[in-house]
Amino acid sequence: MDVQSDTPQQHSAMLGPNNKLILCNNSTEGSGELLFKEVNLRPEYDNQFVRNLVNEMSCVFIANQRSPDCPMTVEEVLHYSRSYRAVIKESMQHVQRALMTEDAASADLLDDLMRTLVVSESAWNLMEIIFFQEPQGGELALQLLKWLSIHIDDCRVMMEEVMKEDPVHHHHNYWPAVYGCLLQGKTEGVMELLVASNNTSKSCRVLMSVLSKMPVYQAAGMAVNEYEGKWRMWREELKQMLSQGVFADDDKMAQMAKILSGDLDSILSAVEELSAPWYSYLMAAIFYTQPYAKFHQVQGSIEGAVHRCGGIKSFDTHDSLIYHILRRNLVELMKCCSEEFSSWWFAAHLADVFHQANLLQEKNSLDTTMRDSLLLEYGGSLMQDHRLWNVGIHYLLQCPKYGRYHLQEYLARLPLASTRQALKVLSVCETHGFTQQASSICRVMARREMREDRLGSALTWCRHGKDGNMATIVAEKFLDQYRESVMLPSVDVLDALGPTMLLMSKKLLFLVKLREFHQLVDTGEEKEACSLLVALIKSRTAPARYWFLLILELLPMLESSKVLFTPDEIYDLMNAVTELKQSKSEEMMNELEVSRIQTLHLSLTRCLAKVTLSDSNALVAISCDV
Amino acid sequence: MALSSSVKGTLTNHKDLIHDVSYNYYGDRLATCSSDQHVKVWEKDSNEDWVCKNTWKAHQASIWRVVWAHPEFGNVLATCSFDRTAIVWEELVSVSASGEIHNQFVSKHTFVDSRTSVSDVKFAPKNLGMLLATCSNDGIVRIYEAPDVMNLTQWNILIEIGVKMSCSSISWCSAMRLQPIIAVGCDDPGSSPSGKVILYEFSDGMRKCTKIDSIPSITEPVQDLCFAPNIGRSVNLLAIATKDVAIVQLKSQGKSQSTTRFDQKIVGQFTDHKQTVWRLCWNITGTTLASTGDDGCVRLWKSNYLGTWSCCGVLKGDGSLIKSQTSGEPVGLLSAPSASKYATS
Repeated sequence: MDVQSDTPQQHSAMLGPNNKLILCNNSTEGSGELLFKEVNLRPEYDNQFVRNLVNEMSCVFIANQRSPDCPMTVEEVLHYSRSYRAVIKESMQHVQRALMTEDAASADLLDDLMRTLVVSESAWNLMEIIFFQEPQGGELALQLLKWLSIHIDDCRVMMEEVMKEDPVHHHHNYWPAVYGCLLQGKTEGVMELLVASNNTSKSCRVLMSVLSKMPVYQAAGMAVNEYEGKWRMWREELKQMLSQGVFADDDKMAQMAKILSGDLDSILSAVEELSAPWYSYLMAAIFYTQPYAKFHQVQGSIEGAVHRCGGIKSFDTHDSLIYHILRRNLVELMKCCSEEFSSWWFAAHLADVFHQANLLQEKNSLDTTMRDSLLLEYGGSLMQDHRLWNVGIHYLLQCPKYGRYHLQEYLARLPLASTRQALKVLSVCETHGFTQQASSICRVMARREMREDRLGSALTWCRHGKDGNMATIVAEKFLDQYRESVMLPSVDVLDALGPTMLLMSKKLLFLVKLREFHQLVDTGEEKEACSLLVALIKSRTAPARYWFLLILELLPMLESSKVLFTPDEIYDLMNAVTELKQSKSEEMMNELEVSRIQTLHLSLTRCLAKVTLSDSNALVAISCDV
Repeated sequence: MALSSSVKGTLTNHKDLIHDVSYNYYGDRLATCSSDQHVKVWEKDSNEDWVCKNTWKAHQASIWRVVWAHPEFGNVLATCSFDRTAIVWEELVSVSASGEIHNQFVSKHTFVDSRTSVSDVKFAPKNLGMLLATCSNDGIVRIYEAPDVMNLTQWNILIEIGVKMSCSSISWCSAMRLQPIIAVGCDDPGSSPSGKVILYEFSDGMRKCTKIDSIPSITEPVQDLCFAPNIGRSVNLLAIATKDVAIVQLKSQGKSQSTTRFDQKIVGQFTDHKQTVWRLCWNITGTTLASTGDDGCVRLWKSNYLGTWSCCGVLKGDGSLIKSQTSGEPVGLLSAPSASKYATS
């Protein structure tokens, strides 16, 4: 289909991290207004039943992962496959229950879901029979019919309805019920219906006796050859009766006899009358022409049935799905699964069952890359849902080649809506050793907290991410606030920082020491406080631009009557003040600064005098003692 | 289980053509830019509808592109315009006395080096730091660096590359193992024997730049190009928009004389748009490519597990899905692969 727009315009589109597509097409759509549109390209998991299913399936998936060295036994594979089916069936029950109570609006949605579940369960069941159970000759035909009767049970329903009517054969569904039973090989059902109709014609009596004599294969105690012999004899007899015109007086009985004798045209016309699917014809045909056959012997019948039912081109996806299962064509099967079920869940889980059963490698036409690519798509679609990303992780981790890479990318893109969410994503990153993503999350969070002026929690994020560079940036913000207000914010966070953080950032170390100084002053340990601050200045741990402030903080102690400094410490402070003065030219300093420096000089000198005096007093005292 | 096909339209109130739309890193914000010289930033409200949160006149002429920086650098946008400048914008948040949070995008730096229209602007992968590449119609690619990531008012120009052809687009290669690489697309209408896509490699902390390759098979004017995010792949994929969509695989052949050599292979070339293709965009894992063209359609491209690329969906301009041109079958969306997805070749 070719789409032409009248006026070519530049368009743009962007694929978002959540697999949504924004498109601006610059066509003004009548109103003259420019629009953009967002299209969702991933499956929706908005329905709670779907989410439950996804969760339950994931439990089965996780519990059944094996290392490639020890593949599953046939029993284990069957168990694995049946567990999935059990989950689907349970989900069907939930939806069924909901359908009885829901209002009409959501009923449509649930109906759709129910259909999907029914189809997937039936297809899965058939796959189990064909790929994993591998029934032997004699059993195969019975298994197929059994499968058919479980998943297409309208003949049972019809029969129940018909049996309520009196006389039964006046019910408009009487004959459809009879043929339905016959096509599914339910000879008892056919007998029951015939008996109930009180038909006393000769052909009916003969047909009932033919039905009762029909050999039935029993796995225990009967060899296939023996069964085949008996069956052939029985059919020969029936064919003879037909050629002798035994059923000529009753068309219905004649058609039934023809079906029993394996006449394909009669089977087909019965199937068409009932508008049953093509595989209903196939399974009846197998049962009435080669009930003893093994799997490879029925391949011709399958092709024949497809041909008679209009060819593969006339099939819908469900019909083709059944066809590919019966042909054991894995590639086409996967293709069909992905089409029939509009998201990856079915194909992904199925591929994993095949993978665990070692069927993917065996077939050679496929290898694990196909299973991996399906798991990547399915896991990816879960990762993009804010409720299911936790589930998606398990699928991605099972893809050896790209899984971890994809997981990292999806995790990094999870919106960090709250601190709680951020911590959750962070812990997942740490569990799986994604250090880069973990530190990126911490950095983004630290940034955000800082932007909103929550310096304490910004610093906590730096500590989480062991991010020295970011810590330096946050520490600077702390000091900026200190410079403005001579108060440190969020001191509790500073007290809780571990020693490793302090090694990573010199600024942070200074910040913490500054806090220590304030604490010492608060607890009255003034002498220790003073030595700490002088040491900070002397070692240049404190950047020069803070010296002025720091010495101002010392001013009360310098002026104190107590002796809190050693002469060396005062010399160090004097040096610092001189250095400060030299670093700024006179004209760059305002009056206030100039006078402050003078004050500092003055009080330092006074203090030095005081200290020297007390020192000399002490000396005098000592010399007196001597 | 079905895909939602509901398409919500959002009125933009842009008064002229919208040239670019860009999701932020998490996909929870959008930026649009237009010929009306305005940039708008959008957020989702509680009904999942996009609401315009900020709108401002950003340039003196049409704005061609708007891109977001990695969130590690804060909420930062870059735009480029016909007014010969590119601008870096940063979101500033202030809390009012009443506790309300106000945000505003503030111009941090205007790049005025170009003498002609600046056609593209791209932030480098975050591991390279805060780097910005621009290209312009006079054929010059410029790489800038903000040495202090906390101060985006200061930028140094690291390198200027004369491409000698009018440039339409640039893209950084995200492969971590390689030296930084940039691809430049030229929309020069004249002929050029070595092709219209040129690859440059940087070394010495971005101070040195070497032309390492060109793609000779691309001879039509290039409107856009885009490296696929390299998520664990051993090869790099470069998508190129001309009048076709081309996907070129670049496989590193190791180093010869200190520059990387690539083995080139065109793994996909599609004429489906039949008209000029304007824009390209990869999904985050580099597994799906979207292209938009003058036919009014968005086409989605995906490779099957054997590495064969094909169209997996076509969207009309109004967001509705239309049938695939090739097979005549309904096309599954990305999550439902088309019939050809698993066909063995």
